Amino acid sequence: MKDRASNAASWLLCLPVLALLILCFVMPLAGMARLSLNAGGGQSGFGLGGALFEPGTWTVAAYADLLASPYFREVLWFTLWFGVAVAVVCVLIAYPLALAISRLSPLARALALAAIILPKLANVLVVVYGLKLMLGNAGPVNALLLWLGVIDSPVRLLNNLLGVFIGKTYLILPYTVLLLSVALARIDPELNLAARGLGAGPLQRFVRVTLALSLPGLATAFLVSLVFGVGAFVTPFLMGSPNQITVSVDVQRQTFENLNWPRGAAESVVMLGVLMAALGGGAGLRALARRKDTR
Amino acid sequence: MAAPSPPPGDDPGAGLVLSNLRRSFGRDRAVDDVSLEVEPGSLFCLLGPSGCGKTTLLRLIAGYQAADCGAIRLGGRDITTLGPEHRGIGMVFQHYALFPHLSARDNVAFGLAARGVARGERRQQAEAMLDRVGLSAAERKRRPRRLSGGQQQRVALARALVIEPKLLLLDEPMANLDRRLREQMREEIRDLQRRTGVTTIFVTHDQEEALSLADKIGVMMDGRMAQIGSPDDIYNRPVDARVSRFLGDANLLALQSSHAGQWQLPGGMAVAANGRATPAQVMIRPERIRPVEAGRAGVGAHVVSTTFLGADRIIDMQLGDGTPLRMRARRERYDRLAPGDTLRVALDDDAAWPLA
Repeated sequence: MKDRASNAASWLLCLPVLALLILCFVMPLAGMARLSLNAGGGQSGFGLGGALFEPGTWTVAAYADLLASPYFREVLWFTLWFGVAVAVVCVLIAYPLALAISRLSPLARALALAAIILPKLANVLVVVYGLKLMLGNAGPVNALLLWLGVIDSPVRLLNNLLGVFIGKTYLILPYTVLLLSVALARIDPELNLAARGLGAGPLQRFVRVTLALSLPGLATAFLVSLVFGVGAFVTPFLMGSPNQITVSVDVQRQTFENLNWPRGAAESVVMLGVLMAALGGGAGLRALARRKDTR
Repeated sequence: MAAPSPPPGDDPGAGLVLSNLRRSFGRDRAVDDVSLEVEPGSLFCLLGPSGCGKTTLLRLIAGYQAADCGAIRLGGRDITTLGPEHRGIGMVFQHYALFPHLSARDNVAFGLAARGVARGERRQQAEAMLDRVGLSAAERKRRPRRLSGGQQQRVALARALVIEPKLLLLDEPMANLDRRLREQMREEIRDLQRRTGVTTIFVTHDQEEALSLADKIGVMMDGRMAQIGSPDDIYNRPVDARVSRFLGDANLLALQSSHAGQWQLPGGMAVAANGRATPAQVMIRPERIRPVEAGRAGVGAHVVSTTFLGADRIIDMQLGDGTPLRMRARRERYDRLAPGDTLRVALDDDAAWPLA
């Protein structure tokens, strides 16, 4: 009896949070899903209002459109491989960096992490325009490469795939480094000493101790980078060319340029599904690893 | 991946010689001019209060820290500048440092894999060593997190021993075990050490552990080796007051005069002189004081307090001139003693040990 009462009380306590979640996350998402199934594409989504449950306004036409569209397949394919490639590069750069940071003294480690987070304190647009200045034909990066004699004439680092890649990697990297340094900091340094005492060389120690123990953190860092990478909007928009269209960019075009709100909503739902599948797959793998552990 | 070749000279139990080893951290001399010889196949105990430098000394021997100066020789070979992976020394860490992602068996096989031992051979040797330390088949498949403290320690021991080290180092391995388990593991370690014949250095701050386990004990104080000797030496013939106090209860009494082979102590006590010199102080262990019948030789004392220890009882007394004296007695009739009671006590003939 008492149990039930306290149960009810705890639900009551959760109510404000629950209401917030429903209001801020569930309802907009449900609205988007409903919009993707709405007949009559041309009008603004804001007019949906009362027509929400009206019969005859439901259709899967937008999804049929997507399936039939080679253009969307191309955009989706580019978005996915771009996201994966950015996540891979982020992890490859961030891992050695995080490893080096994890071996610093506590003060130096705090300073290094602060330096890495610093760019995140600035507005994304400011950062991107800063990057554009750096990467331009007359920018310092090209100037340095020319001065070093690596190149004879300025290379194009902007408004192409390379530009998008550099921009997106730059924006995601702090998160990847942060997540990996947390994972690496959790590894007891004494384990490396133990491995050394048992005769393991540097490579063996890295593979069998450090890398093996940081694998869960590595998976998390990769997935988070992937989610950010796949969701890329600002960098393709500002640093890419018309060839680098991600789903996010296309959603914006479909809704605001073509005024085809159901199509934009349908694309968003598909993207959401893909990301949920990736995160779910990651969580599944971790659960599997944990079950193996307790067996 | 080049596995380091095992060091030459493969009979277990090599002798260890430290000469003038020194290591400072900043201005703090953690290990200060330590020289030491550990005989092949013996169990040596490094004993000292926390912060005395015994763990640093152990890390110098293992190679995890470099000595500022001095030399380390193991089995006649100079290993002073060798990395830990090339020393062929097995180490059990205080918190065991077992690999959390590997099963008990894979933890034990780790050192063999690092040495390039083939998989089948590796498994066989790991199993054999786990048999020796007494870990059951089901426990071998578990990861360290799912093993008890005692089981974890067995795995750590097996992992250190399976590589057939010439020297085994144990850093306070019992610190995380409860008392009963500690006594059991103490016996098991002693037994394992005898059977394998591996030279072993054991770090502890527990004097009882050191006295019961070691062939020889080195007492460290403030980074220096205060005394090296057998448990009997260290306990009964300490070099100074600090060592005598660290090794259990001790009555330290100022010597008042000495003549005719007798030392006069405070409170009217007298004891046979031990040695010709006249020391400033005399140490008397509480168990070397015995109660005597009224009217016999001895001095009178007032009971201040008594402490029940099970088989024994500690009786804190005060002599006529106020000198405090502690006695440890086994007799049940002293259970009735209460503070304020008086009794007569005398010293064993050879009870006195001179201290500088």
